[in-house]
Amino acid sequence: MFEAFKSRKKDEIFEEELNKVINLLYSVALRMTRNREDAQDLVQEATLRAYNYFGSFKLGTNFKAWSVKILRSIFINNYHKKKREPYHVSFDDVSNFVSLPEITGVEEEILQEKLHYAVDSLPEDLRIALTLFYLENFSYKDIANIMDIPIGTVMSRLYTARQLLKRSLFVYDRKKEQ
Amino acid sequence: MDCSKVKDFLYQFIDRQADEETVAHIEQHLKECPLCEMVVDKEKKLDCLIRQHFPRDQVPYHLKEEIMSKIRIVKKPQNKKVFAFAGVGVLAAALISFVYFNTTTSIFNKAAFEHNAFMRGDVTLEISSVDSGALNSWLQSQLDFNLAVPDFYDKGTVLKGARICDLDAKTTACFVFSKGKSTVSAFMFLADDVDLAKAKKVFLDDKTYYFQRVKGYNSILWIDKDIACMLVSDLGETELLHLASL
Repeated sequence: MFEAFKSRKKDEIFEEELNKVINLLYSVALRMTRNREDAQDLVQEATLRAYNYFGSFKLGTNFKAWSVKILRSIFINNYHKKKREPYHVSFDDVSNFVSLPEITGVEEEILQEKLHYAVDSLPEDLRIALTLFYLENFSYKDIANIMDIPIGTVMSRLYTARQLLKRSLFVYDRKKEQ
Repeated sequence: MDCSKVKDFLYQFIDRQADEETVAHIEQHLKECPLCEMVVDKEKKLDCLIRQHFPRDQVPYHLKEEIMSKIRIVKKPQNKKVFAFAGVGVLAAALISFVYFNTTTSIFNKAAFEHNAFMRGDVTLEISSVDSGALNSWLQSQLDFNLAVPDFYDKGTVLKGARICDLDAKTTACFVFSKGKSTVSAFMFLADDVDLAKAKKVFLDDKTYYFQRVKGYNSILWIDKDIACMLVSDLGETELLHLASL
């Protein structure tokens, strides 16, 4: 009797929690897949899986990180074309073959669009780490947990991603200072 | 701490991920070293810029609804379980309903429940008309108090229609609007003995607005000439307040 009552309560909690994170899940999915249709499928699959596994989720712990982790694991398994990438990507490695768009416009309004494009041009691992950091302000530790990598790797990915973004924002920055 | 150490901890410092001791050392160094201070300021600026302009997206409304309805389909067997248990013993059923209803007596819960029922498609509009004249005369025939269709639907909201429901045994008119991709239910009923003790209060232009969040929906309630008006939606509190204060 109390089990039934409890599961009913838990359903309500799940809906409440899901409402709070669904925009975040969709935003992260969009940065992962860079495609609206795939992002929608991914979010749908991840939320249904989260619902099925919600029994194993400890109430009171970080639902955001937990649901993003599910999203990422589905992305890696289903949407990710398995191409061999070096485990450790350093700035020097990527700067040679990743060409980022240069930001030449000075208007604030188009900065968002340029940044959007610059972020989507980053290699996947860097892009995901950067997205988790800037969209939700996840700690290094949360990102390490979500992406199943050591904290040091999180830091180096964020570092590299920032250096690449900086390059594309540099022209913008210089013009502003003049 | 010297300049090269500051460089090593630069991002951990900016990201507020460095430990207290390191933060103290760096702050001390920055006071003494204008060059490092400049570097840190520049990185902080860039950090703000990225954070401010980072692409953010709203989940499409239809997707959210689709997900919620799929979850509810998965959920159904559990609801049956509740009924099965109710069959086991009257006492058990009474106990469940006592616990359950005791937590859901507030007017906000009732309204969120009604809104949710509409969103799920469990109830439908009794009159779907965008003509407020036709709606008003229909209302007159349904209600024992005078009520006109609220007129905020010309500010980016579109009236879908209306139905009559029961909130806490009060006959209530429920108007449904759409605003962008969100659906808003506007409940209107006679404002005698409405218990608002637990709701959050906001004062604006000499009026008191009450807020509560239930079942993932935001609600706002205010009282205008003996009529309580209440909006329930997945819109944010500020958007609801904006709608309510028009």
